Amino acid sequence: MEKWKKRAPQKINGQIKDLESLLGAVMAPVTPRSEFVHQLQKRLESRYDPKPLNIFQPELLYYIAIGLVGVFSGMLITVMGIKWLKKSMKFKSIIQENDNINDQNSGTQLTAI
Amino acid sequence: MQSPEEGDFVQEISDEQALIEAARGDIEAFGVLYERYVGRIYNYIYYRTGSPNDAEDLTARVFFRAMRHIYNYADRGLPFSAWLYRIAHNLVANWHRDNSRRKEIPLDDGLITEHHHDYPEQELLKLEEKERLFKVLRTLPPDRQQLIILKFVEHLSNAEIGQIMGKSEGAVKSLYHRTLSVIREDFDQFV
Repeated sequence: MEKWKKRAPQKINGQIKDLESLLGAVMAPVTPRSEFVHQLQKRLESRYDPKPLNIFQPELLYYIAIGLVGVFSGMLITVMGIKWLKKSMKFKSIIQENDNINDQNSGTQLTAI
Repeated sequence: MQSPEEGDFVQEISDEQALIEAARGDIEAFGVLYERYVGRIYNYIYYRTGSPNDAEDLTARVFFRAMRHIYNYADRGLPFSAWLYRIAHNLVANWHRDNSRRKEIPLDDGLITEHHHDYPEQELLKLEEKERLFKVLRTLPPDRQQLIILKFVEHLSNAEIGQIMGKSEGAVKSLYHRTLSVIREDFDQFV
């Protein structure tokens, strides 16, 4: 019984080895017909379509994103700049108005004296 | 630190990656890839279908599909061959589904009757053995057939087969041993 137990795995391993060598002998690589290989290459060449513009390409998407960020930030800067200009102009006009009023007031005071 | 073999493999992958990039806009680069893999893909399909005519037809379809979708091929550290085998595997699966009414796939004459030696009886026995083995192989599930073909026709390592089949090296090893056990049992029973 012990002998059987010891030999059984060896027997199975031997059968597996035999099977592996049989498979190795039977499944030899096959060469496709050279005519087929050449014809297929020609067919592939004739139907080859050069790289189309794919907007989903990661590189292109990256550039599109950078472009959009650039455009939006440009618009934001322009709007803020205009606002700042308006504000500063308004501020200037208020000061000027104030100066004018001051001038007028000082004028009336002088005439009163 | 990479071993020289690992370094070669990485170099090979990066070379191939450059070739794939070029093949997206250059037919000559695609031609290089085609020449490199046409034989391997043909072999794979041939053993999966058992018919040289269907193998030629499906090989052509694999490369047309690869050419159409090469823009979508993303480098995920897998060899290009794994992608091609995946396309071939899907096309063969479709082919089997379409031909499911066929009870038996004809075996190629060249596979069976190729030797004529001095001992016809021995040759006949060998031939019968071969035929029996192919019949057993055809009854295996597709993934196991794929494994046997990649192992014995392409002589790929378990790691390479794992990359193609999307399994770990250990899983491939285990599947391989289970497959051989099944083949051995069926081969003894199949008369």
